[in-house]
Parts: sequence; C-alpha cells; structure tokens
Amino acid sequence: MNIQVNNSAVDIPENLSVSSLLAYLILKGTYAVWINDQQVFQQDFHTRVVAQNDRVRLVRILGGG
Amino acid sequence: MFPDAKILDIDLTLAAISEHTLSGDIYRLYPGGSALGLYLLLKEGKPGIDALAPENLLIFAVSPLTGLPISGLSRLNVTTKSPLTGAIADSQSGGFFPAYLKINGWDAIIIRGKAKKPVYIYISGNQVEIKSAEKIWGRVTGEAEQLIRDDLSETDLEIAQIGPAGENLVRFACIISMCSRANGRNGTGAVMGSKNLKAVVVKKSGRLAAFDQPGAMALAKEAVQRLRTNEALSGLATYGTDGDLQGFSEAGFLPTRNWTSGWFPGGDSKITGTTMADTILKARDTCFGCVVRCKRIVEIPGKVNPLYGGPEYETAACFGSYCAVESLKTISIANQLCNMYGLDTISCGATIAFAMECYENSVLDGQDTGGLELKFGNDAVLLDLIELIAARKGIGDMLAEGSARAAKMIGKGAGNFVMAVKGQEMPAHMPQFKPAVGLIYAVSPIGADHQSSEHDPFLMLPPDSQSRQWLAQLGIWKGYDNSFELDDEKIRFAYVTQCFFALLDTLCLCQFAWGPAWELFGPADLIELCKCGLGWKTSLAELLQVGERRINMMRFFNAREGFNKSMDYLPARMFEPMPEGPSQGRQLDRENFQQAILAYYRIAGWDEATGNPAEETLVKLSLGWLLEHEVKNEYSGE
Repeated sequence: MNIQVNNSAVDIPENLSVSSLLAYLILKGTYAVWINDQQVFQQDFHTRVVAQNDRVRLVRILGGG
Repeated sequence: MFPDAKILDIDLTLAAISEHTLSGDIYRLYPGGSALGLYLLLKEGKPGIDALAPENLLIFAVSPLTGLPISGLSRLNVTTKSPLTGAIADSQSGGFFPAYLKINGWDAIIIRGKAKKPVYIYISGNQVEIKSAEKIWGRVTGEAEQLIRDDLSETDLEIAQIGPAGENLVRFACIISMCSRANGRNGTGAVMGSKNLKAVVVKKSGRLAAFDQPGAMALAKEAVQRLRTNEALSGLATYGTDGDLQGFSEAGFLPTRNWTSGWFPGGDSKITGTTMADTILKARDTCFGCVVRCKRIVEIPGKVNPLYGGPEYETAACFGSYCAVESLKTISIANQLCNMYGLDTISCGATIAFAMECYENSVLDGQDTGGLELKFGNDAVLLDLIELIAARKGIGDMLAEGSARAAKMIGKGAGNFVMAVKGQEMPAHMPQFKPAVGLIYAVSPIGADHQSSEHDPFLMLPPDSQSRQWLAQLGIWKGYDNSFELDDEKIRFAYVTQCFFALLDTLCLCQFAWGPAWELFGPADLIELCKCGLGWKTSLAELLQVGERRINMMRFFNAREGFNKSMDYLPARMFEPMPEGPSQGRQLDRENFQQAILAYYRIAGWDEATGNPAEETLVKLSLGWLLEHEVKNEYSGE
C-alpha cells in the first residue's frame, strides 16, 4: 500500500506497525514519529498500524558526542 | 556526615609536597571535580596572570563518588586558567586514572610553580614523589608510558601525561591517559607543560567500598539491564559517537569545509561510525566499572596502532568534514597523532580547517605555508600540519596558537574564517540545527562546548519517552516538533540542563551514563547514587544548586579576567543562510539570538549590562565570599 514518508511516496506491506515500518525502512537510531501531524507515543510504536495514504514524518534524533 | 576532601598540594618550584583537608560541610557545597577545582583556584589563585606562567595553578579533581564500581564513575576534572581562551579552563576525561586517584585516597591535587627540569609525580597512597622526567621529555605518549613503567619497575600504573605538544606549549594541547583518553579542551596540557610536568602517575591497586554496598551493587547491576533496552546507548555502544555522523550530514547539519556548508555527500558515508564498525574497528573499550563500552579501538596494520584508541564523532568531523577529508584511514591516523602528541582533536582539526579556508581564499599562500597546499580535501597536508603544530615548526608554530590568535597574526580578513567562541573552536554541532546548544556555545565560560548542556533534538521525542519524562523532573515540560525554535522554554531548557551538566562535571560522572534525558541513569538515580555511594541524603534542589554554583564561579573567574557579555557571541556565519543541501536557507536569526542571550542572563540572575553574575545571585548561591576584597579584585557585577 502507499504512504508518504517525509513527503516522498513509499510502497509498504500492509499492517505494519510503526516499529515494523522503521525496521522495514532499515532505519537505525532513535526516531520521533508523526502520522498525519499527530506524534506517536513510544508506547504505541508496536501497536499503531500505519494505514493507506498516511502521511508519516520520521525524524532521527541526533546526539553525537 | 559528608566526607572531608583530602587535597595533595605540590609546589614544583620548591619541590615541596604537602596535604590539607577541606571539611565536609564546605566540600558538600563544592562536592568534587569542577566545583572543587574552581573553589581552590578562586581561593588561592590570582587574577590577571599569564596562563603559562608558574603562578597559574593546575588542579586535578575527582569526587567522593569516583572509583565506586558503577558505570560512569571514573572521570577526572582539570581546572586552570586557559592559555587558549584566557578564561577558565575546565576539562574532563575518563578511563581508569580518575578511579585510581581516588582509590589512592586523594580528592584533588593542586600543582603550583614550575620545576627546574622535567619531572613526573608518582602517587601510591600517601607516598608521593617528584621524580625526574628528563629521559621521558620529548617522547610521545605510548613511549613515555613504557619508560615510566620501566623507571618505576612497575606495570600496574595509571598515567595522566602530556605529549610533545604540551611540552611545546601548543595552546590546545591536552592531558592524555591510556594514550587515548583526553582532557581535551582549553589547553590544559600546555599549562602542564609550562610547569615542566610530564605526568602524574598513580599506583593501580585497591578498591573502594560504597556507604551502602548492596545498594551500590544493585545500581551497578541495573546498568546492565537498562543497557539492553536503551536504544540510544545500544547504538552508542555498537557504533560509537561517530554513529550519528552520516545522519547529521543527511539532515544538512554536519559542519563541512570550515562551516561553509552542513552537507558532506559522498564523504559522510565513508567516515561514519557504521563504516568504522564494518572496516577498521578492532574492539570496543570501556572505562573503570562501566558496562557501556562506547570507546573505539581501531587498527590499520602498519599505520594505526590500537594502543591509541579510535576516532570519536568530533574527531571524525573535525578532521573529516571540516577539512573535506573523506578517508577514515586519514582520520584514524590524525586521531593517533593527536593522542601521541597530546592535542585536542577538535581545536586541531578546526584550526587546520580555518587555515585551509585561508589558503583557498588566498589569505595564506605558499610562502606562508612553506610550500604546503592547504586545500580542502588534501589528506596528506592534514597529517603534515598535525606534525608541524605539535612541533611548532613552520606554519605549525602559528597554528599552534589556535585559530583566533593565528587570524590576528595573519590579518587580511582571516578573522572571518575563525569558527570559535572566546577563542575556542566550535565542536561539530551546528547552532542552526541545535539553537539551545548554540546559545550555550555563546555563553559558556569555557568557550564553545557541546558537552555543557543537553541537545535540542531530544525535546522532539514524545512525552512518554524516557528523555521527556526525565527532563520533566527538572521542570522542562515543553516538547517541539522541530529542533529549530529558540523560545523562552528552550532557553530555560538550555540553562537548566547546563546546571545539570555542571553538576555531572562536579560529581565527575560520565555524561553518557548519567544525564537528564537519554542516558543510562537519570535525575532520580542520581539521588539514589548519592545515598548509597556516600550516605548523602540529598535532593534535586541541592544538586541543581551545586551545578548552578559551579557555573557562577566560572563566570566570576572570567569577569575578574576582564570577560563580559561582549565575548558571548557566535561567528557571523551562523546567521547566514546555509548554502546547499537539505538545510539550504536555514540560519539563525541574529535579533532573536541576541534576545535569547539576554533572556538567558535573566534566568541565570546575571546583570544584562555586563553579562556577569549579580551580587545577589552570588549571595543566593553561598558565593558571597567571592565578593570579599581579596577575592573580588576587579570584579564588577553591575
């Protein structure tokens, strides 16, 4: 199914949770996630399922040191 | 009862050794590390001296918690007057030396004067000796360590030393232990070199027991559990601090070509931490008692010796993207050279990047450089320059003064290429991306520093994240959906976390294990640590006041040296639009930033006209003694 990730169209399998989406996109690190302008709580990363046409914003939290 | 501090006092001019005690009721206000060093420096030092003169005091300090076998409890603070900035110098390092300094029974060492000939100090419990270092002077750190072991016929030693760069008074020389752990910033190594002091050596034996040993052991075991589920730390452990480098570039905020860009496409993937892990990483290393194992050990046969560790993010950025060098091999050799010679990798890489931009803009030419082509991306010249800087030869002699002084010597507008605050080169976190960090760069008493406060992006995590929940315990309630804002709450976040980090530097806690957001242990754990470690029943209120007190002492020190708000600024480039890449157009707003500095002063209780602590603020923090005539000297709070 189609979603938007950071304003780019992406085709993903259905029924992916947020954490599964991050794994599917092979994204390492800590991410803050918004779906349709609403931030997703961390406790919901495993249960919130991404839906068709969702606008997903992923922001990697960069520390450094 | 709070323990007393046991302080070793060494006068190198007189070759005299003595000790004294700071009573626990006073020590509790300045409980180790940075605060203890500042207290001693302000009590006994005089303003207006040359940082490289014998009159400057060099103070090593740990804390009453140092050396307990819990993650993140082996850190050394060095305090002195900085030869790079002329302001307070305050720098931390890890490894095993800090733990064993405390295990040998000492909370601090005050080093005064200057030895007639090179010496090193040997400490084994109450046995303290000043020994000749004439045969060790001039040697790189790896060789010197072995020579010291041979001289003492002893292998179980921890050695904090300077390399040839410190001996040659390079203004950003550092103090190194384990040939890889640096008190990096502010030029503390040059102060040590100015005293003809090659090393401080401690016998590696013994252990400490906590006040509540079962409680301390429970905390130690908790670290193992938390590491398994702490995503940020797991990443740090696996890929090191350099793991985020490519991410910074992809966001458009990796300082590149002396901060003329934030984007390093092509190069970023070659020098990032995942590439290091896949290629040259030989092992991960750790500090005393710590389960995180964030340190890198790299090896390139025939080129890079694992003895000298491996590059952190700052090193990879400062010798990599700052100089447009795309080779991890070159960066690793540069890291090794800095650890051999005892050079701060941030100031060294940044000063070379400054010189490259000068050359690219014809402000320096071949005659100035001795024929070297200081072009961005020139790997070979990068390594040549490190050697020249350490030896103060050729153009290296000028660059050894740091970019700000070098710019004054060059003239011709070279000052436009200096990316420093108070003379200290900026680390690789861009204020355009992290404005709270940028604010602290501007106001920090030690010059631009990235380990003085928490970083903006962690406020973007959701409210149920560990970061947001821990920050809320400090009264930081607001989240953001981007990192670019610098409103009143962000300024407050900068100040409050600066107080917390000041506390960490006082208690000598590693900022990767202990912190207010993403770290292994947070604010509530700190209270538990103090209770089981020392029997110290404290509170966040008392602890944050310790941190606030430390910042104010630093600011007072600087004010006595003539610093004021005119030195709180960022280079003009931060206020120009980013030219390319994902961050194109992004810039700091100058007016907003100036207002933010004033807002910061108000939160801190500092006079807006001078930027210096108001007298009532000092009194509020039990620092009224600074206003006594003998200490106050030229200080003016209004």
